[in-house]
Amino acid sequence: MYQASATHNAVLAANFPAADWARKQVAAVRGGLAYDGRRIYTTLANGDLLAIDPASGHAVWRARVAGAAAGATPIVAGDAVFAGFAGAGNGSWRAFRAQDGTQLWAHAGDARVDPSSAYFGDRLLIAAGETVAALRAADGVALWRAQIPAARETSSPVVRDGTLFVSATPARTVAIDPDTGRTRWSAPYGSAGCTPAVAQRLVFVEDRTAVAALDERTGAVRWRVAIPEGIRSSVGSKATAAAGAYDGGVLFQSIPGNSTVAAFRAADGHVEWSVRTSAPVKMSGAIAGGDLYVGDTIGVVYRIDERTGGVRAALPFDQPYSASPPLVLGTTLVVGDGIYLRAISQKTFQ
Amino acid sequence: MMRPVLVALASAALCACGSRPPLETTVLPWPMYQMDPSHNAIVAGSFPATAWSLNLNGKINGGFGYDGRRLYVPDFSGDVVAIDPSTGRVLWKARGDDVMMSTPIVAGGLVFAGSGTNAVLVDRPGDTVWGRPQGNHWFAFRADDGTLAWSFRTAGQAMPSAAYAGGVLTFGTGDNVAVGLDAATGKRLWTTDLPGHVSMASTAIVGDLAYLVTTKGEIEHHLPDGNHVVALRWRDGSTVWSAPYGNSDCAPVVAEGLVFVEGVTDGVLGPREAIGYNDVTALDARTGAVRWHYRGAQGVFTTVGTNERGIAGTYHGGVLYQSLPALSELVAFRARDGRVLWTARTAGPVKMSPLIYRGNLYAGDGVGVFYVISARSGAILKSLAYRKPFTSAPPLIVGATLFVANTNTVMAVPLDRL
Repeated sequence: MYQASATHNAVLAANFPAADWARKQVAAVRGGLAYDGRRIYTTLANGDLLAIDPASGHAVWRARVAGAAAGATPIVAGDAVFAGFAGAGNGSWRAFRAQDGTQLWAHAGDARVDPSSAYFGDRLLIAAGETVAALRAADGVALWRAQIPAARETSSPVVRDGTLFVSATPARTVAIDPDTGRTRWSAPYGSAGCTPAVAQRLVFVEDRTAVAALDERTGAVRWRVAIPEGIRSSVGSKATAAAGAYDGGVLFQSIPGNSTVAAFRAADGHVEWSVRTSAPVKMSGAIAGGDLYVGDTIGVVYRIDERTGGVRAALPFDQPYSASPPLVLGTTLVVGDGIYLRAISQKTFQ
Repeated sequence: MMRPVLVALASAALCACGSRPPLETTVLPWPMYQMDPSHNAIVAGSFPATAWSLNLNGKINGGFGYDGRRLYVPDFSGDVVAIDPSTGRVLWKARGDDVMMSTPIVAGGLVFAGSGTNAVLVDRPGDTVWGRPQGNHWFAFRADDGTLAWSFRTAGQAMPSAAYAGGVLTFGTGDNVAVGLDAATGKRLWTTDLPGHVSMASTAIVGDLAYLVTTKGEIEHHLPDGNHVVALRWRDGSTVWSAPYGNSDCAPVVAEGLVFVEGVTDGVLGPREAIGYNDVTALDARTGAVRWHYRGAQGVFTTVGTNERGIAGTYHGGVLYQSLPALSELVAFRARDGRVLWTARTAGPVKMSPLIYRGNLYAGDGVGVFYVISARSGAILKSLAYRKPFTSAPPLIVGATLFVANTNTVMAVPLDRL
């Protein structure tokens, strides 16, 4: 699923050797990154799905859906890569062979196929517009379809302990049975820009007014921290909320409208620290080696002490970071930066 | 500050290089960056509320020139573009020899613009040249049709805007000199050595003095004397004083007998270089003595939109309005003593000089947000999100319309929509 797990802390491959590279792409990197131990997968705004050698950054294969745009994080399961493609007349969910990019199947969607999918059992759980659905992963056949009433757009779905969670705009988060599509609970919190993070039996969501923790089983509010009214911005991403990342009892959450990143104690919402960034952060962070890594929409990547919020390093780049979140392979941060995909080794931050 | 549109004093056909045409042929002279040393480029008059947008071939980092008839805009593709402010129609394009990002200066029927990019040609202790091996140029284009009247080669880059007074065009360059040219012919009148190069800081002129800001090279700009404000007489280039403040990204503001400059202190090595702080200093305009100094908190310098770390402020009504880009903050200082009147936090760093008009401050930031802020309290009254960053190109208000560049797009926005 988006960012590998429901905590969204995509820290993988502890033994991966340090790498530093930057590879210019033909279009902006829109979605997040997926990794299967051999390749990194990402999508580009022009409709490309790329498989990339993580050591060098060079493309291993490229699949293109003509006329489409791609903004969803690819999902990898078994020998297949799943990705959603948006665009008028071209909205679709597709599966590709991980080895060489051969398309295996396509399932027609609509123009709003931007969220990532989630793989659960033998099925692919998808969301777009007001629809949540399950496809059979082997051939893309629809198994069930459910609706989130009044939803204009949805987040990426996540699965934790046998429940599917998805947020929507206007403010809504729902818990759904991934086997049947039956709604287990629905709560008026969250937004499409923030894929729920799930940990400690809590579902963490954000909208323009608050960060909230909902009970995983009932949807009841466990804590809620109001957000002061902020400023909307569109450079990098139009998102007004960002998915948080959980690690070690703490939710690390960007508050884009206030150009702030905060650490909330997951159990009760106590604000451990908050730090102002130069510009809004619209991506989920990655927490590794005691530090939080995020990039903002003025092009700065931060290494922030996860305990204190102190900025240990700030690297400016020429292009805005978008909602495309990083992953950490060993001691290397891999992140999309406009039309670049970058690997930044930890020593660069020293 | 409200400025009446000046009436043409004389008109005469322009002559070719070598002869000297009368200089007062334009409706409104535009003698320096943001019109005057306060940088509050407000042109009063009956110009109506107008809306249009025009994409140019390159990013726009320099300010606008305006002469009452045309808007002159430099861009990174190497063009200076004359635009009809009523319609957004391109009237002519003139070609430079490199990136064009100096504010076009307009006087005597000519439009003056310099070329250059931020390339380090030589960087040794005591010897720094920013530019390229073949040098750059100052160009004089005829305002009516964009044809070239003269050009003047500079050894270093010629990015910073010039200032015009009394028939003399004064500017600093990337090879550590200030130059005075006969504006009518392009003939060199004087050259004065400077303590560093001038990268982006436009020249300001008040009375008989021109003010420039210099920075030494990458190796030495961290040192206590790495940056200087220099006051010299624009008639002969003689130096009056020099003071170790400011930064050559930041054009000096001159008002109330003070020169206001913003400085930059950044880290020395590796990624730490991006972390630093801005300071603001007010100097006595006649002597260079420090009247007050303010140091901001530590923040981060950024490159999206534009690389500037120090930004020219704007003076209006006893107040200096100054961006602190390291902190993504706008600060209002009481000009006479530096007291902080208010601080406004923006979504991203503002890298342009703001405008102040009828109680509102107007500015755009590096994440594409354009603000209307109460000049009295600092409260954000309105914010408009654009999809591209605002750069260091500052806005201009003419009558009922605000003109501003958003990356490579020039926009005319009716003030009543803001």
